[in-house]
Amino acid sequence: MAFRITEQELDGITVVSIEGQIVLGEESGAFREKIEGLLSAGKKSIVLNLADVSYIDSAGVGTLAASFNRARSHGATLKLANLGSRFRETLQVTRLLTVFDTYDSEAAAIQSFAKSRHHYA
Amino acid sequence: MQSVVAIPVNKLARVEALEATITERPSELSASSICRWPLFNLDRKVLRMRTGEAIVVIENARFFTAAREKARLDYEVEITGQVQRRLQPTQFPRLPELEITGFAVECHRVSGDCFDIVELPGGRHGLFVGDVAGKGIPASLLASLLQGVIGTIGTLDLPPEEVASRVNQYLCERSAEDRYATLFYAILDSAGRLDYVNAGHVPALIRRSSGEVEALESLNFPVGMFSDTQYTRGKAQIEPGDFLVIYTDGIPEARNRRGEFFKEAGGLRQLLQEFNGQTVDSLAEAVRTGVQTFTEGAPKSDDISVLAVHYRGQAC
Repeated sequence: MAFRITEQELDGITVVSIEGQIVLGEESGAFREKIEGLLSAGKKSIVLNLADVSYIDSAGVGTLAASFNRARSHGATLKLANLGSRFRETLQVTRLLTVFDTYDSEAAAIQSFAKSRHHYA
Repeated sequence: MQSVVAIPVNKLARVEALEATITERPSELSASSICRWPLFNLDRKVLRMRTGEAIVVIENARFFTAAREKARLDYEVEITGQVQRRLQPTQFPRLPELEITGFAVECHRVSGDCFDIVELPGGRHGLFVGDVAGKGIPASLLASLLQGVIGTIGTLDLPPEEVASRVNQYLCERSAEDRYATLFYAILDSAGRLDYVNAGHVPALIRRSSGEVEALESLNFPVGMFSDTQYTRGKAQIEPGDFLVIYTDGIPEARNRRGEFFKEAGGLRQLLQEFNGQTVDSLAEAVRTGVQTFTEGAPKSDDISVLAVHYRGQAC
């Protein structure tokens, strides 16, 4: 599966869908640039839909952790949706599951942003 | 030399045009002094043939230069690998109460793994295995740095969580944001007490003398990921006759020719359960050959490092 990143805006929430493998090289570079671009554009609520990610290597995990740090410093929130079992296992060992909010579906992740907005309103 | 004929040749080494530039005064040949002359007096066929020969020479020179540069880089990678292998421990503690051994198998001549032993006062040993994210020269540079930093901080005889914390601070300050390493750092005393920090690393395994296998799971973030991490210590008791195996994920993630992972075929846990040797060297050999047999010569996808301990217990 070729690596592909698509983005859509839903009610002020940016949904980034990733297809393929997040691995060392162009893939992790493209992923980093995409998140960097969204944060620079002032996006604060980002959902990463990982349903079609077939594999993530240690460099990909590094990019994900760096994205979390970047989002935090921009006052933005990254949430993860549709983690596969292998992806979940990788994030479990590195304890990254404890820093990200994860959801079983894209809709649930989007809804959680709406709820938190309502909560703070 | 009386004259020069200049034939333009494009990047693909084809003759671009046969409209040549001729000068009777080559010493004055420069962009401004060149005047173009039609090729009335030159045989176009001969000129094309000679140009073709010149192109072959130019192309050969280009290939030779590229090959020489690649050979130089290959040589440097080879030397980098040698330097790194020299940094690995070659002498392992062989004491009445415990024996230690270790080995590494690189994926691409250089390794992103590191391991070492720190001798501490009172017959205690600091043991660590680290795995830097990524591969190749960048990962190997950080792995060597990590080995030196952990070894140096380890000699300060600090608790494992403090060692991890200092290593984490160092890496967060000095390396790129997306660089990190998983680390298992443990201190084993002569009574078999094991204090450890598992920082995002694959679980170290204790193989009890009964054959049972226990995992020392990760409780922490890797080092170099988040600067404000507080590390949590784990504890275990190693009994006489037990083995402790600290390794990198190159073992569970090793694949065979059908793309199956070693961990899915029972992995190290099953190998240790079935192990019936009595020495740390035979255990290390069993791990090495077990992975080799499983992968059936398939290309390696990650570095492998193993540090193994056989605890025999204090003499009465």
